[in-house]
Amino acid sequence: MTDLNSTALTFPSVEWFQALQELVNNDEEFRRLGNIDAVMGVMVGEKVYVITFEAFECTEVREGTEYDLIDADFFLKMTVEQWQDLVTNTRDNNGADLNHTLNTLDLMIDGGISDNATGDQLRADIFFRVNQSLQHFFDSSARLNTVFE
Amino acid sequence: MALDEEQKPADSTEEGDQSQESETAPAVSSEPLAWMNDTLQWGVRVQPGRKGLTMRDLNVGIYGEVPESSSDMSRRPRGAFPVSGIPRTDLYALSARVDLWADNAVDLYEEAIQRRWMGHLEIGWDEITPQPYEFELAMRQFCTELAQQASIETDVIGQWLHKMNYAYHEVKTFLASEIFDTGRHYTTFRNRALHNEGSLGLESAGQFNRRMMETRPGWTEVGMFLYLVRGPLTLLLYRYGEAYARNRADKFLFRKCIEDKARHMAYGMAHVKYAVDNQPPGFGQGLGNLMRGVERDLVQDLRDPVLWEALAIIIGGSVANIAQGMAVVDDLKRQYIEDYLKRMQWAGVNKTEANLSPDLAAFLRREETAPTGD
Repeated sequence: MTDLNSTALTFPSVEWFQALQELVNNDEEFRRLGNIDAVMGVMVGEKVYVITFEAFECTEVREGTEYDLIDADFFLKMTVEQWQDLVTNTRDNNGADLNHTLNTLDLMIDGGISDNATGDQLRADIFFRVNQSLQHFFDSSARLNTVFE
Repeated sequence: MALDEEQKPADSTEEGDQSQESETAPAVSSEPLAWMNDTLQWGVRVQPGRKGLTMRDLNVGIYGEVPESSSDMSRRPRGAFPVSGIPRTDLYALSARVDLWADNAVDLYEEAIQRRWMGHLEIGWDEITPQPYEFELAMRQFCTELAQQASIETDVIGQWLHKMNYAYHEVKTFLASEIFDTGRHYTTFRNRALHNEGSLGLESAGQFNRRMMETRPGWTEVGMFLYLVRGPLTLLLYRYGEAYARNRADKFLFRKCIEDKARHMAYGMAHVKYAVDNQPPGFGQGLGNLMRGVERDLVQDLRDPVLWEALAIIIGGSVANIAQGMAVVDDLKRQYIEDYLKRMQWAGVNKTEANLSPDLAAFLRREETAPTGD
């Protein structure tokens, strides 16, 4: 596996999410959590990234636009500062601490962080159906050498 | 000894013996191995996909044909060769696709199997260290009620599962996995309540439990209660359990339950929508009308203080901070009613604030409700 700690990666960037993709695709624990079929949008301020999961892998990471969120099962939206807080907290605690899990943030941050752009509740619920895998995905960022813009 | 008895020739006119004759009929054909030619479709080929060889992969040819209705009262797997003279093994009340189907059941079954977990091994029980006594009591009460909700779900599904025709094995196997999930939830929450020299708390008020158990018109009605009315509440309780957990082990426990519950609701929502779309006009309206009486039970449960006081202590951290916790509980109740309305509307059931029970609507307007939890 690539020694990802040696390379500084900027958050947010396609490279940062690709590094996460590589980590989980080589992580037996991620696979053991079970299949995950989801297209997840990640909105960091104005920037949009589209992350696709199929079967036991993260199959695609790309930069997108707000229009791509229409096709996403759900998207996670926070301000740049809130994302930086999450990523920093995850790094400092080797995984999100008790106050920074995705579900906790979705309940605590006004308006929540997870949504579906078309109001399709069935697809929005995929956030809950694969929540542990998503948590594992973001927790894996503790292994990255992250720098912020 | 049993083998010897089976080898005896049938010499009785009793129905059970006729059954045995029928079942063995192909094997005693004059043509040796004639049964090997008895297939409805031979030569079907499937390649395993990224998830392995799944039920969806195998839904090809006649094996993937899901009938609109079935008069087959045997337990013949769909696509198996029917043998003349096999007696009925059941009288399936749910033999029409519209009564139980959901397009996503086949994939949800695989998701259930592939995302299964083991509470007794995967939860870091040692990480759950003792908390102040009043907090422990509140946690025990919370987990006792969650265990009860899970066991009710097991029983509700169990009393309908055997009424479902085998032509719809996607749904039957998914619901079997759900029973397994709810069994796991029951034991895991019971374990959690008893952890740290704990104890079980009070049973829940249970008006709505009884409603689910005793509803008879059809699985769609029961499914609406289970997945669109109770489901969103259970999901929210799990979500708040995760959010206010004091250790990673409890976080994990609640997160895995969140996954399971959301999957259960995905089937239920899809089924109710399928039924509304495919039953005669007015069916969805009828489901909405049915809720008028049901909402009275719901109000009674929401007013029962035990669960909410326990949750308020967990959220606030102590009895001294219960008012602070109760404000969050009021938010939870408001979220629940909003979620209930949203999911009913998604499924095509006309349920809005305008036709909601006034007592339930009161939960949407927090400032108009009593400050200590109704």
